[in-house]
Amino acid sequence: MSPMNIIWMIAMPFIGAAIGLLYIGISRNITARVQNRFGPPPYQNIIDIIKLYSKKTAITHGVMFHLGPVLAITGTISTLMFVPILTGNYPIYLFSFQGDLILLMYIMVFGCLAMALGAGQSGNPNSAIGVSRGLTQMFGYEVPFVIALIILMVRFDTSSVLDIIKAQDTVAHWNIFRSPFSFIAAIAAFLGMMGNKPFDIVFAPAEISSGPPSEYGGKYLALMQTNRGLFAFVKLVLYTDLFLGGAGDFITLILKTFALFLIPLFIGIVNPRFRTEQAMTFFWKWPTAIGVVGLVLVLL
Amino acid sequence: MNTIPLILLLLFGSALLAYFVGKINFVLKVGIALAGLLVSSYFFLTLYGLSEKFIFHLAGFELTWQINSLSWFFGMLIFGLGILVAIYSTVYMRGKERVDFYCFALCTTIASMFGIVVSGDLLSFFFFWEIMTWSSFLLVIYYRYEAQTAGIKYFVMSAIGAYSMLIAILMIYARLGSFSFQALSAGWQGFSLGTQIAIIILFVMAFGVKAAMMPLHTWAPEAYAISPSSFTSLFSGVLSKMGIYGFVLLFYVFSAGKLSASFVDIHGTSLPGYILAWFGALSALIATLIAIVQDDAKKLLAYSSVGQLGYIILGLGLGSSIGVSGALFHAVNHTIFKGMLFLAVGAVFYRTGTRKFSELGGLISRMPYTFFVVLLGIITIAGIPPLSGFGSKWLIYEAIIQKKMVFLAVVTFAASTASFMYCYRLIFGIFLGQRDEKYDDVKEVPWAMRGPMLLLSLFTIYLGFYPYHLLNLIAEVEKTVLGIHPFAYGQSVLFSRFGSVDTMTVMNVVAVVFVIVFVLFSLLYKRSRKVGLKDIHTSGEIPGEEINLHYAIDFYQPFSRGVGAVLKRSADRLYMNFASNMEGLFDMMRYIYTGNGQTYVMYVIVFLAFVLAFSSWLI
Repeated sequence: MSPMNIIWMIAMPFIGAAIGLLYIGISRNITARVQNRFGPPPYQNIIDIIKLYSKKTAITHGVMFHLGPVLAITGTISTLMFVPILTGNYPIYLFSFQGDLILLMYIMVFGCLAMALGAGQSGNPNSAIGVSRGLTQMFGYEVPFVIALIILMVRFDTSSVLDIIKAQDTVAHWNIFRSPFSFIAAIAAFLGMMGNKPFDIVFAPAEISSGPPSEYGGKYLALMQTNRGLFAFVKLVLYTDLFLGGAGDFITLILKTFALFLIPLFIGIVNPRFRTEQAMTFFWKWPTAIGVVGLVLVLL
Repeated sequence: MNTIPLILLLLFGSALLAYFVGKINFVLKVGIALAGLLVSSYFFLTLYGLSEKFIFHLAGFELTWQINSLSWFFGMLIFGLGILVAIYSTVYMRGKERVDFYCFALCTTIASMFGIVVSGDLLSFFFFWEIMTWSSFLLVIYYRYEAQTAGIKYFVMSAIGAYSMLIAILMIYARLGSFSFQALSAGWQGFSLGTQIAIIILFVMAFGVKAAMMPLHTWAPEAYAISPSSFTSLFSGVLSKMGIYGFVLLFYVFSAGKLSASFVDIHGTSLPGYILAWFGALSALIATLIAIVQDDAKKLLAYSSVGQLGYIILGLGLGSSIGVSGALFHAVNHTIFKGMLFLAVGAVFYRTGTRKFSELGGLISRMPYTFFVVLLGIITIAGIPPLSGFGSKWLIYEAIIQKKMVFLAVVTFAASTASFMYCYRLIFGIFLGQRDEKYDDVKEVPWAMRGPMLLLSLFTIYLGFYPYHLLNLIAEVEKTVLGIHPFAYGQSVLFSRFGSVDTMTVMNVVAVVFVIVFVLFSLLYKRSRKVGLKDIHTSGEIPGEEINLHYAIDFYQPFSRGVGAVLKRSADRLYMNFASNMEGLFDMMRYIYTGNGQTYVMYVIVFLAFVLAFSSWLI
């Protein structure tokens, strides 16, 4: 393992979290402009997190409550380690040689479930309601998501992310153009994953006082927010790798991921919130139907 | 003396001895049962790698008991979990009534299961299969009256399975004149297509009942829920595997891989295998959906068991090396995690006297070891890396996608995601959330109960690191018995034609990241203040200490609304309707058999008149 790779392994979580948080900050600005406000500066989230980390006290409800955010970010960083980040002349592959898409699908859930366990021990019924909603929604969006991934895996006859990137050597070969059905199904799932409106039922500040994190404060909240930013980044990079042909350098990466980030954001701004069962069954209608068309096409 | 009959003799002997001598005191009966198990498993271990045969004649039939890598593989599960369950039972069953009866039935069940896996001919297979059915039936009805319906249902379903197996065996005997497996695998090719289909359907029914394959699963939830928890883990963990063993025999030993010769191929899998795979996948999905809405922890686990066995059946149906390896790997995993979870739920029941999520909650600080076991159990069952459940699920998925069975893959993945929901429900309902005051001084269970659970959790961690050792064993089974060329795997790397995963790296990455984050987060910042579970943010309204805000009733209400259409249907109700309709039909017989003597006299007179009237024609 080259020293460069080790340096990236250490640096990448920090860079990823910073980028993710910056995106969320920009999204607050965009939302504010749509609502004819000005909103906080883009780096507000990072300042908030630094403030939260430096808080003198944090309240804990027990061991699992304490471990929840730790395990959540463990899951997210582990996911990051298996996603190829850059593929150009100076590639950042981390451990992505040693895992494939199926591993990614499962390890992505690790963090969510760990957070759910932590929230569970908080004793707050709102947290439990949030988790119950979150898992229900996850069951919804995983269906189009796996359909999209299966289309890609069968099409390229590989489950390795690196090989899928390699197959998309020119713009015309990007999967967004080559497998549009897969892309549509995956983007629908992405809406659910990112938790913007209309799929923000998990946090739903006005209903269940932001759900799972409602008991978390101080350093715990800081870690959870860091995790949120990093996880957003990981998902964006994964989608870039799968559908937009990966990225050769950081500027391309940022352009592509930000373009993807805007999709759920713009849809979210103009939509109200779904009810939980609607949020689940939505994914089984059009996204799944389009995905099934793609599945049939890939078999032919 | 040959080792195989010695082991059987030991096990059956200790069962009888535990029953009769055990009348004297508790320690004696448990001691005899445990000693019998330990000694026989020692003898079993000496059989590793051997292939022995024991042939004898009984009533003109040649009976063969044999050990090979396949029987050793399943025997390993039987003895492994059997001993742990026996140790657990020493405390769990203390102070309960009819412990001698329990010991007897437990030993007999284990003995009969071992008998099944060493059987080399259909006759002894059927014989041990029936012993297994009734000895496990005795344990299902351990709590007599409340277990009545569950027991009857189990027995009726098992009887249906047994009769169909008997018909299949007789069909085979009528054609081959021999009961031995060898004659069958040699003669399978000679059967006509119709016979092959009939035999497959009959055997699938027999094995499907025991493997709780949908739609033959209806006995499982109730029987699992009502039997003593210590036995349930064996019931679900190993006894259901006998059905899986049957499937392996049917598809890979009896027919010796010749199914594809007589049937159409679909995506490189013979039609029966393909249909079986669909049965497995649908079992996995539907059972998982039903498991999510259960309120009884053991029923939840029972449905989950049906679902996980669906994965195993699916892998077996696929027929490729990677699929079969995945299935056998998952069979071992299933034994481990169902053992863990049923024992843990039993431990909770032992201390609190209830299994309902709506009555439990917040036990994490009171039963931390049990919590840890359940935590590892659900991570394995959900197939989340880095524990062993991931390895087997990974193999099964790779197998499906390699065969390009895309719809099957979607159903399977959906089932797997849905399983996160019941996993969370299980751990949240029992251990997290707010605790009722009456459980404030619940204590952790004794070490004899903790030990077996913790040992099983060690196995799942170990197999998460090194699936290698188990895969070696499976490759041996595939090579020597099943006639499949095993797929490639490294020390800790699983390969398929598609991709690879390095379980060791995954485990290391997760562990290293966790340790670093944990150390940075907990030790550098020593600023956590512990508060009680009732000290929560409730938007200004302060509920009293006595009010419990544990959210456990109807936990997934929106989910049940969303999938109500699936949950409304029930195979059980279908059978019950069928049964009651049949009852109505047979009730018509009462018009003939009225039970009144005069009616019968009338029948006799009518018959005689009839005979007289037409006697001229008869003569």
